[in-house]
Amino acid sequence: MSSWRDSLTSIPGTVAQLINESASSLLHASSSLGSTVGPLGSTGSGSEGGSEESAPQGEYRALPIPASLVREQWRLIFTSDASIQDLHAAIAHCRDLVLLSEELSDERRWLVRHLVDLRYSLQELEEAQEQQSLSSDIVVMNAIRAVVGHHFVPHYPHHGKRNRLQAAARRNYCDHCTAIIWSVVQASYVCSDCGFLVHQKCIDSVMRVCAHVQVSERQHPISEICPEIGLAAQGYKCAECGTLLNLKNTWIEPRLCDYSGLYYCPRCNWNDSNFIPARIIHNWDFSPRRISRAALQEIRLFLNKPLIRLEEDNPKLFVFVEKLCAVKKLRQNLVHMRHYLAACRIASELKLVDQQLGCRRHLAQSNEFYSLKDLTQVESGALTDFLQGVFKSFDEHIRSCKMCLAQAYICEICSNIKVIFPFDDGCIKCDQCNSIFHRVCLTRKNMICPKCIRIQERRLQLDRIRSTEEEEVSTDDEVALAE
Amino acid sequence: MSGRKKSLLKVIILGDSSVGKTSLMNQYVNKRFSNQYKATIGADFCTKEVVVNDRVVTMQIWDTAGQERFQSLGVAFYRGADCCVLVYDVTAPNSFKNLDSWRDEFLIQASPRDPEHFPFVVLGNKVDLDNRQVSTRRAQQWCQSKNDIPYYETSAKEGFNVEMAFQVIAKNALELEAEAEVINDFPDQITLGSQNNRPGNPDNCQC
Repeated sequence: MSSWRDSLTSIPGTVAQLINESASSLLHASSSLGSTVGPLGSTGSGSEGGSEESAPQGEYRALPIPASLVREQWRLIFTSDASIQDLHAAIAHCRDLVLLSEELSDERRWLVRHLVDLRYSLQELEEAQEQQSLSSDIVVMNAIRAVVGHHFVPHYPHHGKRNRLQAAARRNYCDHCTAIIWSVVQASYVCSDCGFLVHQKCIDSVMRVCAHVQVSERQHPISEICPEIGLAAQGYKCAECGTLLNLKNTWIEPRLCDYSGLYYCPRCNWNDSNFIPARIIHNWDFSPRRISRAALQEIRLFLNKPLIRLEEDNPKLFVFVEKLCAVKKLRQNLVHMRHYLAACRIASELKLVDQQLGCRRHLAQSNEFYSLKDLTQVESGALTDFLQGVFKSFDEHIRSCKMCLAQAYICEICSNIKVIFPFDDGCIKCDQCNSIFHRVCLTRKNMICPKCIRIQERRLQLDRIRSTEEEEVSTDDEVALAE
Repeated sequence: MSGRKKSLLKVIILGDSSVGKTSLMNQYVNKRFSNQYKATIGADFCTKEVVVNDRVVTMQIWDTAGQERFQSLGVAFYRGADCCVLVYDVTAPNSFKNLDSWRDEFLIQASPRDPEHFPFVVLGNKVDLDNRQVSTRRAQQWCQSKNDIPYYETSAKEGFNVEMAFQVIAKNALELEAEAEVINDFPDQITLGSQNNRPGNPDNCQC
């Protein structure tokens, strides 16, 4: 059982308040502004005092626990001596409440998170029991420990490293207390989702909600450039741990995170520097800026996700950045090629798309979405090279494959027997009917697609026939019946 | 010129989506039928050896996607076709009405030497179903108006008339080829002639 729940039981009087606290902090962490976390993991009386101080004050913190949950909390929250049956009951109840709650409401969001936590606790408990039944000596160290959305697994820094000395020389710092993790003598955990590294002793007081949870709730990286609200609005407190900030004392100096626009204490902002997604999208600015630990972990998780609709967010960028223009054209061609490869059984047997693109399939799926990694590689030129390589291998297949060649086009304006493809230079596609022509040929026809004209004519003709036929059909059928 | 005798017949099956093009082909080639509908993506072909007029020929049957969303690819395989099979569903009047556009589109894309006499075969499929909507007479009328296209009613499910229809298809395709052979004795003349006389294509672009 994770002990932040133990702490709930230790002082029964404060339980309700604590729950309120943790709920509101969880909620509020999921709000677009906040990445602050309440004292979810703080132990005992300390958290009581702390929670009083860090209670919602500023506008950006106010997110009270939904009324219905206060009533239900005794059925949802359980104590450390809770049995598997209790947990099952709590899960069932929580699930019912989720179904009853309104869609997209704060209530539902809290409940869903709680449900996930409950399920993990249940799994923990079951695994622990299994271990015990196997051999009572083994200390349950291998089980995943779920704390504020993190899924901590034991961390072995030397594991699998060829040079143990080198590995030992690399220092690891605890993301919670910022002290060195002396891996030889201290056990540590790492979050399998976000990479949060923590001492075993610190694990129960972790406050930062897992970046993976943040990412899945936020869905897109923050799109405003450094949306600062100011120290006053933050109540001169660290946006994550609530430490009072002071400009005179360097130990508790406020440090601005350029990603979230919030001020953090030096424990939560290590002056890591990284590019900022919003600055890339708006300014094509890749210069590194200082950001908080939470932001760094979040950006890392966003790195490979194709989420950015660059052309929608900043269409002019494609005019100014030539590299981007080249990438766009290449991707457009790859999209056309993928249609061929998707319809070709030889290519699917060869797994050509998988083999060439791997996990970056989005590059050939549409030319809309970019991941942060794509954008940085556009700037460095690596993406153009990569896409050119893919283009070459796709092209090689399509031009040598019987099936793909069969589905090429023949320009119907000039009827030249030589086949053309949508991704060929000097060819143009009709947006309406998808036909492909030589650009010169279509220009000669004043850019009017002959197939579209045919389709239109046929439609008119069909309408005409339909109107005159309606009476005829009835008589026709009668005759047919008579026959 | 004796080596020109082609032993490969290219047959294209066209028609609206879900009229049973793939099923007809499967019934003919593999003698199999499945009730499950699976849209064809792009185009695919099967081959079958048949004996026509005491000659063994390989029939290459191209099955196409009827659904518009799968028609994002080209139809270069229409070129060099020896016969075109137009399929409609006797329980779906719209699929019958669309035969006209399928035929026109085929003639334009395939641009055969003699579009007026290009061998088509029309198949009214799914005659095993009860709710028939297009009468035999109506279909025959249409076929007559288009230069007497042979018309057959089939059921891919029961295998009814399928074998027979494809025999006719193979025979007609072979006849076209025989004619082409005669014409091909003067290859130069023909290429020029066909380029200039193509209907609906007045200008003669060489690009």
